[in-house]
Amino acid sequence: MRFTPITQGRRFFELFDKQGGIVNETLSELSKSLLESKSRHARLRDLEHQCDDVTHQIHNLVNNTFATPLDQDDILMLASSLDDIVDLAEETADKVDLYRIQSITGPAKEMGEHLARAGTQIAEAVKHLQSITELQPRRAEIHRMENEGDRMLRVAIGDLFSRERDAAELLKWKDVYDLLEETMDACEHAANVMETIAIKNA
Amino acid sequence: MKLSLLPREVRFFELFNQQAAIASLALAELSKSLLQGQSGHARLRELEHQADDVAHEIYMLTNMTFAPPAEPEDILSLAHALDDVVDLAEEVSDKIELYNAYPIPKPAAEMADCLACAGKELEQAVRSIEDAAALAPALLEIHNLENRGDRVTRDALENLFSGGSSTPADLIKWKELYDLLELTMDQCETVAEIIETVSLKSA
Repeated sequence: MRFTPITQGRRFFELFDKQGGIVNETLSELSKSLLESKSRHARLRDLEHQCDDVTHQIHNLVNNTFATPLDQDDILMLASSLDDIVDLAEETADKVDLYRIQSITGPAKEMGEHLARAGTQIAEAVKHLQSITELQPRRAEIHRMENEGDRMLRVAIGDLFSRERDAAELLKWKDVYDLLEETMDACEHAANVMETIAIKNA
Repeated sequence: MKLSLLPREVRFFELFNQQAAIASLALAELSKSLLQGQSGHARLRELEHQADDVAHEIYMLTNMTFAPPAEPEDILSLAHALDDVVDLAEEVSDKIELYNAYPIPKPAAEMADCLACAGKELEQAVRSIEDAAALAPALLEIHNLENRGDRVTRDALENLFSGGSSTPADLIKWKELYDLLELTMDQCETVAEIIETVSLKSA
């Protein structure tokens, strides 16, 4: 087998760029679907499969590349942390569908919008894995979204428990709020992984 | 293996003792708060940050040290596992506050008492990591406490679901909280297992 390190090196960044694009699209679809009170689950499942493919390609490329442009562990960790975001967003849409939730609450809609904003930042951040100065403001913005989202969901959950008397509604919304929070946590985790990579390669 | 008292090795043991002391303190605070019918969240969050700092210092030291006193994987997994104990204790108190899960039922306080005892044993175990004779009883006691805790949470869940007096909100809140308390105890047992592995390897 012949090694062409330069081309393969560039290929990694291309694949991350693609994965970041899928993350962005997934979160924006999720946000739109929540705003419309419709689950676009079919579309999200499609995106989730696409993301799996790219993650798989990154894994294969790591195995076949002699000198990877970044630390191998870091590459795999970033690929799986981006993949986690898409998986969780898909799971959220899936649950909205499964639970036959007809009308989406205000905090869930707002959280969707925060996630969509975080998605835009992630799509930008993956383009700057080697520049901490470019990366830092994106990470800060994601962190801000996470903080705001956290506050919002805490109020929503507190409110849910004090107001809702219907057991099924309680369970459904508790689950959906938890998933939205996990999706946002996954965004922050991916941002932290990117920051570590950028610092190491500075 | 005899350990020479190189400054960095001493530092590792110091940090682990510190981390175990924070874990023990966190579990004691949780127990005290629940007995008083409170979440104790402010204090636990503080301890959680302290534990993060120590864990971070252990990671850094492992990266910088050419020959750490145990295998780097073991050091990292012990640091990580101790940190998880504190994270879980903090999560319990956070969720009690968030869910406004008052009054706190007796079995929850009882479980927290088991956790506080396990915390003391963990502290003892970390201090005795190189002394098999002192280590064995501490590890055994953690397993016993885990068994006792298991019984407490099982009974509590049985009551919760069969009483007929629980509201749906109570059910959801306390199902999750008992699960978290049990996870915290399981995590103490995980730490004990890691300590046992490390001590066997270095014997």
